[in-house]
Amino acid sequence: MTQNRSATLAALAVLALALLAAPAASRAQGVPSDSTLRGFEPTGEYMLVVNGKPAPAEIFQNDKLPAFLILSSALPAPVMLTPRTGSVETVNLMKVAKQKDGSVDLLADAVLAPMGQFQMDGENVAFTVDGKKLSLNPKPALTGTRKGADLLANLPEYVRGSRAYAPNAPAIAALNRDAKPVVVHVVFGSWCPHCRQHVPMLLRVENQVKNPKIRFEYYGIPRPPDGWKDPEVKRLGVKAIPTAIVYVNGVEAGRIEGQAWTAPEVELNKIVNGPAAKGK
Amino acid sequence: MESTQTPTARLQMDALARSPRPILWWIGTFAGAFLACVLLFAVWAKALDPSAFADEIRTEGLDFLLPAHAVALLALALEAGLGLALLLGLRRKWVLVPATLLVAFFVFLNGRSWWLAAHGLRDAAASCGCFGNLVQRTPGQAFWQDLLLLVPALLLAWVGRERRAPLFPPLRTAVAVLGALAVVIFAWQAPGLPLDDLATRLRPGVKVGEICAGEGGQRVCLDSLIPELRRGESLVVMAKLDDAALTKAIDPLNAFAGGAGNPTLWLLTAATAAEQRAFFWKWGPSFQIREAPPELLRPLYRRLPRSFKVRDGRVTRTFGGLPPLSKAASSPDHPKRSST
Repeated sequence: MTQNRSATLAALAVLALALLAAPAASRAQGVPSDSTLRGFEPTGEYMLVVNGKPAPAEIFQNDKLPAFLILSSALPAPVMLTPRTGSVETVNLMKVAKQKDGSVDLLADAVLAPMGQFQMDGENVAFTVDGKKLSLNPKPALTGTRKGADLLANLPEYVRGSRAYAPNAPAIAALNRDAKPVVVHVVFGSWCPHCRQHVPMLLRVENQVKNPKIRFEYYGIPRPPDGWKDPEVKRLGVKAIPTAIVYVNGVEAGRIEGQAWTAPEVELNKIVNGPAAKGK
Repeated sequence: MESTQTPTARLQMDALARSPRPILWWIGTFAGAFLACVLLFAVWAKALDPSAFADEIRTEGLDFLLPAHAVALLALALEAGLGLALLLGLRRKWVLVPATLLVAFFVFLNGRSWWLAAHGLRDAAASCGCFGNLVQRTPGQAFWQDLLLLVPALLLAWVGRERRAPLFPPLRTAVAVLGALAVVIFAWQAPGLPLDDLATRLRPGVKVGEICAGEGGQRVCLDSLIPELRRGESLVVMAKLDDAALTKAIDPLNAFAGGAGNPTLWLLTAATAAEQRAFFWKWGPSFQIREAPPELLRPLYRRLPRSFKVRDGRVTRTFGGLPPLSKAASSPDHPKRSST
């Protein structure tokens, strides 16, 4: 067990060093990024499975191509998967350049070596590299009560969405002045594309609200159909996700649902400082 | 038929016609006309999009004897015939008895839906996506609305009938029958007619922020599903992911999505995340796919695929099928690949 952990840590360290070295190498060579194979963004939608066991990996997605790039110490080289063509290709790690914003580019002189084709095995993408049976599987849903930091640590898309959102400043200022104890309980699904759009906005709001009286918590539900049968979903009467239930002084004062997710901080401020919360 | 009456009977009829109508006759006639208008309005809405009506028939399990489309056409003929007959003042038993049965059936269906929903047998558990079950009106609301709209008018339509009037006045009967037939032919041909803008909520000029589904807090609008529609120019394709028309067009759509200066391309679908993932790996779209709840999507089309162009949050053009991609850009350069 300890040996396994040490091996994993060592592998992660090697991977981190290699990733740090890659941009340095590119700068040293003065080679620009490939015009097409650039802008691979981190994704938390999939996990790498090697010979039936989850393996540490950084997975990047390029929406424009589209293609996936997998960097893992369990792989002899970074692997690129291209949907539709089904191609599996490897690329020299030194031709991978990590950018400051967390995205990854392949350098213009990167050469892709074909390694065969991937196969769909249900929702999993199965392929073989150097005799290893590999699979890119959808990550299990993030379930149960979580903190915002958990979401940011597990879902890179949420980090990107959160960074891109600029909350309404007067609403944030009003929330920071509020003296009532408030709990914002967000029911969401890490598998739900609609949540991927809107929950990061609330994470940004959480980041900007410095009021210790306002607490945010996130409750992840399983993939459907189980998700809609979740006891918490039934208990709270949640009909669509994401839904944020706002408790003021321990009593539900309102919900952020549907169209209100356009600017969640504005709705939250309305609920916390609006007539519904008066006297609570 | 009227001409075969005896001279005495004809004189009595003339005398009746000349005498002022009793108040009950007027009440009954107006109630019948009101009921007729409600029925004919419903016929118009359903005849424009008979596929949606057939879907409802399937949902209610009424296609056990005939295919849903055949049931839809028969139901439209009946509803249109009764509506026209009532509008023309034909308050005979052969009109009012079927009309009563029809209204009773509508109320029964709504009552059943209400009961099923109340007992958790038709609820959000059936959903597979982010949206449980967005309701435009609750089953309870639907029940009471239909009950209040149809039943009083129907009961009053029985009041003050002329019992000695001919059973089948030839002209009015013919108009009702021919009208019902015309509705059937129209509904049969409607899917092929260019009536999408008329039949759906999606037409040029409409703001995407006003295309919504759901009630109260659960209300979801198109511009919250694709916030990027609020600014700039976009092209939105609504399609089922397994539609051959869509999968055949992936290359030109990808080329269009990658073309500089083209509107941003979106695919809007009611498919679940798992279905979207399967589509992604099989077809490799380079444009974004967004999930929309069926309750929001269904009123926007009669047949899929359907597409529309949006500029700064307002629909500027609609297209039956996939959009013409005349300005499609050429495919982006492919990366170098080694020959091994």
